[in-house]
Amino acid sequence: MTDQIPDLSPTRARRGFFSGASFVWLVPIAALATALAVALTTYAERGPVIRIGFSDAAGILPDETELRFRNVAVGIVEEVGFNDDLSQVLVDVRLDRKVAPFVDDSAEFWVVRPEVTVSGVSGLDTVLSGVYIEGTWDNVAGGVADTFEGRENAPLATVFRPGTRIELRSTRASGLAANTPILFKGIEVGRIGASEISRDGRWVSAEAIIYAPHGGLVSTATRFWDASGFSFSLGPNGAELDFSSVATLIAGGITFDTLVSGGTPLRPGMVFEVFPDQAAARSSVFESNEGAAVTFTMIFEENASGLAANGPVEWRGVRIGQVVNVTGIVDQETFGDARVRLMATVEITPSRFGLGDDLSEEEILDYFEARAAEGLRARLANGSILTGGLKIELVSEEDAEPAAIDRDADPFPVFPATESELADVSATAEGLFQRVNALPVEELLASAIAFLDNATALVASEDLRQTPGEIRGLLAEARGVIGSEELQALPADVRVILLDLQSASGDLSALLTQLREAGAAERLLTAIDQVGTAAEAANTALAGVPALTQRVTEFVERANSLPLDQLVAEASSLAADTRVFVASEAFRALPASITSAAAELETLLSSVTETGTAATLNTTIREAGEAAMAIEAAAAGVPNVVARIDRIAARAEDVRLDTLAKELEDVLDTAARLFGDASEADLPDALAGALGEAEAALAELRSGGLVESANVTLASARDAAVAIEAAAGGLPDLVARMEATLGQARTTLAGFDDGSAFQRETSAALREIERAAEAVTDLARAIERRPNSLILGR
Amino acid sequence: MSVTAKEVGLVGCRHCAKAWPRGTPRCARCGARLTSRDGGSLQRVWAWWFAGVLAYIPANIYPMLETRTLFHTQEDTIVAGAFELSSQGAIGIAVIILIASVLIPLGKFFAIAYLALSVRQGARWPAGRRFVLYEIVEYIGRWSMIDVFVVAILSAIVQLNVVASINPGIAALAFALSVIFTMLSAQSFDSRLIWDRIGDLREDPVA
Repeated sequence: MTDQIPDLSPTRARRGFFSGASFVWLVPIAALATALAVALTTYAERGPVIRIGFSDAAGILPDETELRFRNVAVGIVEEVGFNDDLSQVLVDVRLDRKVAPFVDDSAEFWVVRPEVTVSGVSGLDTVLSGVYIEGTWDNVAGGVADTFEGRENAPLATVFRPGTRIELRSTRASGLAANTPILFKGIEVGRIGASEISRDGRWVSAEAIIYAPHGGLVSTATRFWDASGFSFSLGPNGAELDFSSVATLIAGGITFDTLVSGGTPLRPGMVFEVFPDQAAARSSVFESNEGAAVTFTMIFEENASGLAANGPVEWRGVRIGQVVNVTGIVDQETFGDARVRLMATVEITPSRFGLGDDLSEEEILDYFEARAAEGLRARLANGSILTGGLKIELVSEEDAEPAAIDRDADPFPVFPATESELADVSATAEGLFQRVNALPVEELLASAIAFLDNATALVASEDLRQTPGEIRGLLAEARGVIGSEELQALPADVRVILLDLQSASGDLSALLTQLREAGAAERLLTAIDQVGTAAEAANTALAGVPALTQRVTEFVERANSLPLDQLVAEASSLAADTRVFVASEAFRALPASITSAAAELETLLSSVTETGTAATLNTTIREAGEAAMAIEAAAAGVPNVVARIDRIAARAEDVRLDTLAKELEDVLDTAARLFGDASEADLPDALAGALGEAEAALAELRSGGLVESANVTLASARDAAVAIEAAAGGLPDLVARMEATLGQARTTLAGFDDGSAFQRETSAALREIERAAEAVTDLARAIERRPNSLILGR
Repeated sequence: MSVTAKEVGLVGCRHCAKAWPRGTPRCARCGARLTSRDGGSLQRVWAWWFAGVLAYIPANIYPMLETRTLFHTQEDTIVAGAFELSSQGAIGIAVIILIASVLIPLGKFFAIAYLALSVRQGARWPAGRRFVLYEIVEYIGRWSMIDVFVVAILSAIVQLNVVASINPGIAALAFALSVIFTMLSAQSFDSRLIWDRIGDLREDPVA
């Protein structure tokens, strides 16, 4: 039994092992299948490995650093190692299978790291996530390449921002910093890549890109210039602060404009020059199509300052080239002494000289050599009077010393130079400025100020202010005099007098009738003839009177300039006195006495009629005729008298008028006093006496021809009055002048007031500055509010 | 010295341990099915064993923990995590993890394989010692889950949104499966087989 059992069990067990397989086996088989499936799919989806060489691999970690395309991970770094001579870091990147075909020769790779520049912050996300490798390639599937050279920086044209690559070059580096934006009307349309120095060291050239679709803005007629920094100007439009953007203010920027039409459209690889400013760019437009340039060295004996790089080289006023460099040179071997000479390197563009563009350098040098043999020389000349800048001029000298171009000179051929023609403009200008400086501006202003002060004092003086008041007072008093009852009553009295005179004339006519009857007419005629002759003589004598009047007029004009106000005051007081006088009883009695005088006259005439004095009158008339003849003879002497009066008037002209005025014043005073006394004293009586005498005088009047001379005298007086009137007419003119002076003073003062141009300009300037300040405040506030805008560049 | 129940024509009930004559289909006392030896035992042992080994491979290759902090995501496999811990000075924890996650599972694989092979081919070790080994494997199997347990607790607790979070990696699942399969493998083993060939071994030198 025991023997059988071991025999049975192995067979049963073996049979179970092979035939009755347990279902549990499904589990490991399923696990295995799963694992295999996963492995197979993983393998199937695995892309190729590419190898990228970098100069350093900061931050690149195996199995962590991603390769991104359009910011999507399309690969992962598998290994970081070195090449054979350790000169490069080789990064192996496992690509996704789908993008692998596109990674062809066009692909470019660079490492994206956080970067903070003035124009913005980029790659900020890599601060947290670590660096990544960015790749760009075109969207055409080509053959897979497996080895690449990594770039140091991001390329200018990426798949995000395609564009046309150009080359910019400039003689100065300031505008060509890497990553500088290219702006067009303030919009960024391109960017500048890393700049490098040309091999000969004369240019800084930089790769740049004009982003699509702005390529159409650029053609061969386009000029680029440096737009960095800002410009501040104070002009008629106020203060102006001009800068393109904050970024260009700090980092600079390049802008461009197509200044003339024409030009061929943009092609990749075109070379443009960057000018320092817009003006230079504009002026360069007309110098385009340069052709090849030849470079010469010119050595000048003079050590004149003012020649600088970019200075013009001219031939008969046409700019044919420019100064590239200016240095000093000491060459004892060539010149025989150790003096320092001015050495200018110039670039001449033969096309501007009228030579074709297609000449070789040798041909151009041949040409210049021939011209130099004919006497073409370089010399320094004044370029700008204001700045004292110099230029180089090519001139033909008839009797030049023979010289030739030294073609073997190093580094450039030496062009012969001649004595320069430099005017010392600065000295002349300095002299001019000195003379201007020496002008007594301060003294002039001081005098003007003193004059104005005096004028102000005069205008403000009390006396002048009181004058109108006094004149008004005078007028008021005059009106009072005229309006007084006494004066109003005068006409009535005069009428009475006239009535008396009428009756007297009635008597007189009766007397005359008698005379006619007595045949006295003929005699009277004779007498009258004689009187006419006498009157003529008197007329002649009086012809000198107008001249006298003229003198008197002048005299009155002089009197015009006298202290009138005082006179007026005096006159007014005199007028007052006059009124008092007129108002007095005695004056009123005057008409009565006049009437009685007239009555007496009547009586006298009637007595003449009654006593039959006609006969006597005949005799009298005869005598009158004789008297008239005597008067005629006397009248012959009148011219002499007039001449005398004339002389007296001339003397009166010489008399110091102020003294006269003073005296006149005194006289008026006296007159005033007199009237003062007269008003209460016995003047009326005296007047009555005087009238009595006048009565007697009237009797004489009958025989005298004085009326005419009185008439003339009155005419003179009228002339004098007219002269006074004319003088008074000059017063408004004086007032007008005064007004003008005051107006000027006011205008001058008003010049500092509102509304003046100066004020407007100042306030406009202030407003502009205020606006600029506000703009800066706004900017600061915006940055304060959204600091990330600085980071995001928005 | 000793005989097995099989040798004396008996079959023991595996539930209530009452011995019945061979051929009895069911235990009259508890009603359990009686088999003298489980014929498919070894098959199942090997099948689970293979499944467990297969699952153990990704459990070690793939990351167990995915630790995500603010700036950084770290994925650690079991062994790398242990070494990381030890490099940070937590050598004790590293040793525990290494023992629980590497030493014990591997030991179990070897122990089960050895036991299964020894049933067929015979073994150097005496049956008693192999039985002790079997008992240790069965007992210790459940502790292998300590790693999975730690991962589960960590990922439940450390979920601080953006700042830090811990997620179980794919290896956690694989490891858990591996442990489960190993336990099933150990359970599938019919420990009575250990004793069957003792006589042969003892008798062979005599014979």
